[in-house]
Amino acid sequence: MATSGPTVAMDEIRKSFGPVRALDGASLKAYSGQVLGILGDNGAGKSTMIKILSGVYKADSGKIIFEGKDVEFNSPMDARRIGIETIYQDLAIVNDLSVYHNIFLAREKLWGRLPVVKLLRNGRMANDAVDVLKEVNADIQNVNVKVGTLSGGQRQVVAVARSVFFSAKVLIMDEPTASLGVVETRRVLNLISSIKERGNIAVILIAHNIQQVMSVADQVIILSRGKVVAEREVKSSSVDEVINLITTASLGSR
Amino acid sequence: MNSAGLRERLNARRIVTSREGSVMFMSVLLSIVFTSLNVNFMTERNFVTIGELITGNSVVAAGQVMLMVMGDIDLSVGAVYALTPYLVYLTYTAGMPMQIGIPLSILAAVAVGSANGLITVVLRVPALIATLGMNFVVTATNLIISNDYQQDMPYQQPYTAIFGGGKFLGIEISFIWTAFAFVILAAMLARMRHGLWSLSTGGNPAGAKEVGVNVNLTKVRNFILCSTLAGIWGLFAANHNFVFGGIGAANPLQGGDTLVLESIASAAIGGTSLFGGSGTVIGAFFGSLLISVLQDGLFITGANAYSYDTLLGIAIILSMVLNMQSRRRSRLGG
Repeated sequence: MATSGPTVAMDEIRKSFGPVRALDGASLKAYSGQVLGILGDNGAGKSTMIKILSGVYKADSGKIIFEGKDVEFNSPMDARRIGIETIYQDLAIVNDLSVYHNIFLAREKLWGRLPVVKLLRNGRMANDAVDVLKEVNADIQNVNVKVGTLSGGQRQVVAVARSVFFSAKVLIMDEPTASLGVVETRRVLNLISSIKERGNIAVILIAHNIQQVMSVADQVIILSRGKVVAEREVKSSSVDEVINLITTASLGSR
Repeated sequence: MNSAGLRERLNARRIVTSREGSVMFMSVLLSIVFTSLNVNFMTERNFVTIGELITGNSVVAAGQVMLMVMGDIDLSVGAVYALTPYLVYLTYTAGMPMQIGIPLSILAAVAVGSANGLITVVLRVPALIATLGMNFVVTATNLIISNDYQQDMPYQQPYTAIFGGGKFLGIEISFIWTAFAFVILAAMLARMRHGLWSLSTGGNPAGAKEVGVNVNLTKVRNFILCSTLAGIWGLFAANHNFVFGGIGAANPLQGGDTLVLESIASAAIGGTSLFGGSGTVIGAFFGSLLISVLQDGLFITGANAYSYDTLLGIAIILSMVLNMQSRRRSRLGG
């Protein structure tokens, strides 16, 4: 388990938007091979937290420590370059492209290193796509089909497969089950479990549904008004306790 | 390509029911009808005529495909098509040989394409409006610099022959260039990174940008590509009369709005979506084949000149209906 330090840590992060204080000294730690759930009521600061970690916003103060070193992100590309991948609700998936082209989009495998003629190695990309989908236990049979023909859960799987293939070290998932049905939700939760089993990725999961988060997470943090009001190991806690913590925090802050 | 994908590709039924296949099938059907009405349709001379019609607009249509898959369009291709030959005439009469005049004229086409691209990307003007404005600007420029007069194209070998005024191995050189262009452009859209980026730019611009596709650069490149193709094939059209011992013409009204509409029609009939995200270069070729057979067949059978426009209009609407249906089908997962 967490014998070494966290893969990524956020320390005393503060962020205001004009007069609104979104984060007021919030911290988190995410470990490889584990899932950290971020819970909290609407407006608690969950989204701001992950947008800072993925390089979309810059914190007013506080530190981000990645593999023991202080890092600073000026863009989402900076975060992705060191291995922090984010999968947003509105997936960056192109429906008209095949599954394997989506997985390799903007990081294509090419023949040679010619400057103008960038020929795609489609066969190689398709084979690698099959392999990585197998690794995350996806039930997508044909990587040649257009992503638009897949279900919402399968599209989520394609997005995750892309991050896994490009050796993400931290995988942030923002409400991955928000628009999914029961079966599809199960599929995504299974996917998160199989990512966890790989042991080399720290998953940060943001979701409204407490039961869902508790069923896959190892730790949860509860945010309220931009502060972490509680931290729990899932093993030694319960859904009831967590609901209680969230409602008390929410009511107490009024 | 893995074996499942290959098998899917080689399925005969799929080829006929595919969009490109059905357009080709329609062209064959039309050819049989025209032949039954007038035996002169199935002659070598008439095939050359159809080839000339295809050469005239199909490559420009392929350029439109590259833009339309991104959800963009170029309405200034017809004006650029007339600009380049006139610039060759002007530079030649100013004392410049063609080896300078031709590159300069093509550079002008590149400049128009760059302007279209930058206006769309930097100033965020929709391509429809940006290139509509450009069409007026370049058309007016053509008329001003030419004083509205047509001029004889200068003749200087080997450049006249290379740029559409000659034959190679008994075949019109412009046919060979057209075939060559289709191979390159089809490979570009279907097999190269640029094609994948173009499709993703049309399919989900924000998402493509998010994963690292250079959406703006891809757009500008395609605007330049489309305009440059129009410029080069405009030279071929102007030099065409030299093939048969005549004299080529730099006509300020060559191409024009007819070429704009025919190039878009060819692309649309060939199955390219106007909303971006999907389309094929070879579809533009078959779209151009269909409207060329239609135009030639109606002429040869002595039909009313306006019946071509009527049928072309119907073909465009029909192809859009088919596009919407196939879009709906693919949404439903069929």
